[in-house]
Amino acid sequence: MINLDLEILSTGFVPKANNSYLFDYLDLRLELFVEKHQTTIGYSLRRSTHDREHQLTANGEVSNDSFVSLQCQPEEFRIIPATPNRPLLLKPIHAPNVFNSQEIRLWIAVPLNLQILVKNTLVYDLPVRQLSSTWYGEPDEGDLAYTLHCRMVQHKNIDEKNRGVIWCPIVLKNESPQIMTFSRFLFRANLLPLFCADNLFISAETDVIYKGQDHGADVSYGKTSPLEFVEATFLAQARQTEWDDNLLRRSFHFIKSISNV
Amino acid sequence: MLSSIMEYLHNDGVVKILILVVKVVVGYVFIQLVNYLFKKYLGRQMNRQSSTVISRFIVYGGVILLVMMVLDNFNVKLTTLLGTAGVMGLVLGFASQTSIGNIVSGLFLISEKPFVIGDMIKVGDKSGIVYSIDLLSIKIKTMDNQLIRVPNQTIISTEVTNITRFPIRRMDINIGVSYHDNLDKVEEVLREVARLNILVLDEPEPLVLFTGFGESSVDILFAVWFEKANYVAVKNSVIKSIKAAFDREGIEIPFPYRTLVTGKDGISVAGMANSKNN
Repeated sequence: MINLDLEILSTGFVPKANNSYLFDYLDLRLELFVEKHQTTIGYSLRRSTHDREHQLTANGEVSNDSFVSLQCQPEEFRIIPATPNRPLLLKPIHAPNVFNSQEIRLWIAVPLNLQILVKNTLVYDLPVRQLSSTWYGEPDEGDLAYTLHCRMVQHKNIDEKNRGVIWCPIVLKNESPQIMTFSRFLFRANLLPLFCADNLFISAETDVIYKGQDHGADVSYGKTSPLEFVEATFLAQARQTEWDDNLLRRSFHFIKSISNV
Repeated sequence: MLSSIMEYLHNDGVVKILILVVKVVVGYVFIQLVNYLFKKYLGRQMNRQSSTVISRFIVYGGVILLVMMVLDNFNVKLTTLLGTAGVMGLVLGFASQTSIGNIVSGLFLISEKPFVIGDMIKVGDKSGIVYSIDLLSIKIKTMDNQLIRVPNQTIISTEVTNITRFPIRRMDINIGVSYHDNLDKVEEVLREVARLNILVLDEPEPLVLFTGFGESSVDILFAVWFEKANYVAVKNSVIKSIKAAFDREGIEIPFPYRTLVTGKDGISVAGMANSKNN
C-alpha cells in the first residue's frame, strides 16, 4: 500500500492501476484500491478530542465509515484539496486588537477538505479534521458554520510542518474611532480559491475594513494568490464563485448567546 | 340539448364528427402543452403548492373550455346551459358547503403559507411530513408511512405546529440526578457532553437549567441546538453520551423501585435474596 501525503495531492495525484493507496492524517483515513476499470474508495472519520484550548490532541473512536466501488479508469479519478464546505466562525485564541486608522495582516490556518471526483463528479467531500458545527445569526435566520478556534500569526510564523491546513491571509483595517477587537468573525473561506507554494496550501487574501459596531464591516474575498506568493500554482477554484453582497454584510454579529429558556 | 345533438348528427354526418374529434384531441394536447410549459418555465420559480394549484386551474379551466367548444359545435345554446348551471350551482352550493369551505380554506392556506410541501408538521396528535396540498385537503405522510388526509378547514381552525420551519431546532432532554450528587459537577459533565458532540451546535449555547426538586431527584433541563436534519443522530448520541458520562463520573440517575413483600411473615423478596447470598 502506497502512502499518500499532502505533497503528492498538491501536485495533481493520478493513481496507477493495480495499486492501493492510503491517506491517514488527523481525523481522516482514506483507502483507494485501484484496478484497471474499477476503483474502490473507503474512508473513515475519527471523532477527535480537544483540550481546553480546543486544539486537537488525540484521535478517538471511528465515528463514520463508508466504502464505495466505482467503475472508472484510473485517469478519471482525482483528489483535489478544498476549503471546508461551510463558512467558519473564527474565534482567535488571542484576539488581535487593531487601533483606529491602523492595518495589520495576519494568517490563519484553516483545516483542509479533500474532494474526490470521478469523471468530474463529486463523490466525497471529506474533512481532514472534523470541526464542530455552529449557527451564526438569529435562530430563525442565519448561516450554518463550523467553529474554528485558531491562532492568528504573522507570515514569518507560518508553520511549514503543519500540512493539513490552508493558510489564509487576512488584512484587518480599522476605520472606526474605536479599537477593533477581532474576536468573532464569520470567515467565508468557501469563497476563496486555493494555491500551492513552497509546499503550502494558500488561499487568496481577505480584506476586512471595520467601520464600527453600528456600521459593521466591508469584507472582500480575493481571487488571486497573495503578494508574497505571486508564482504560486493554482490548485482549485473557490467552492462558490458568485455571491450577493448582502451575504458579506453578515460577518460580524455581536449577540453571542441567543439561547432562550 | 339532446335534440340539438341529434339534429347535428343527422345533418352533417361522420365527417363533422371526425373534425370534432380532431379538435378535441388537439385541444387536449394544447392544454397539456400549456401546462407543461407553465411547469417548466414559471412553475419552477414558484413554491410547489402554488405551482400545483395553478397547474390544476390550467387543466380544469382548459377542459371546461373544451367541453363548451364541443357543446357549441352541437349547436347547444350555452346561455341556456349557463342559466341552468347557475340554478344547479346554487343547489350544489347548498349541498356542498363543506367542500366549498375546504376550497376557500385551501386558498387561505396557499396565501398564508404556514408550511410548504416537505415540512414536518403536527396537527392535533398527528405529525408527519406534508405530502401534498390540494384544493380540499392536505395529505401528511407519517413517520410509519401512513397517509393522513386532513381537510383544509380543519387545518385553518386548529393549531398547527411547523416542526421544521427553521434550519435549527432545540432538543430538550429532562434529566434527574440524585440529591447526593454535586450539581456543579453535573453541569460541567453535561456541558462537556455537548461540547464533544460535533453535531450539537456550539451556538446557540447549550442550556443547563436546574428546574426544581423532584420526589427523588434534582430535575434538570438540558437543551442542545442542532441542525434539523440531524434529529435522530443527535438524540441518540446525546442520550448515550449522557449515560456514559454519568456512569464514568459516578453520577446517579435515580429511578423509582419497589420492594415486594410477600407471605404471612411479611418477608421481603429483597430480604430473602440477601439472606440467600449470606
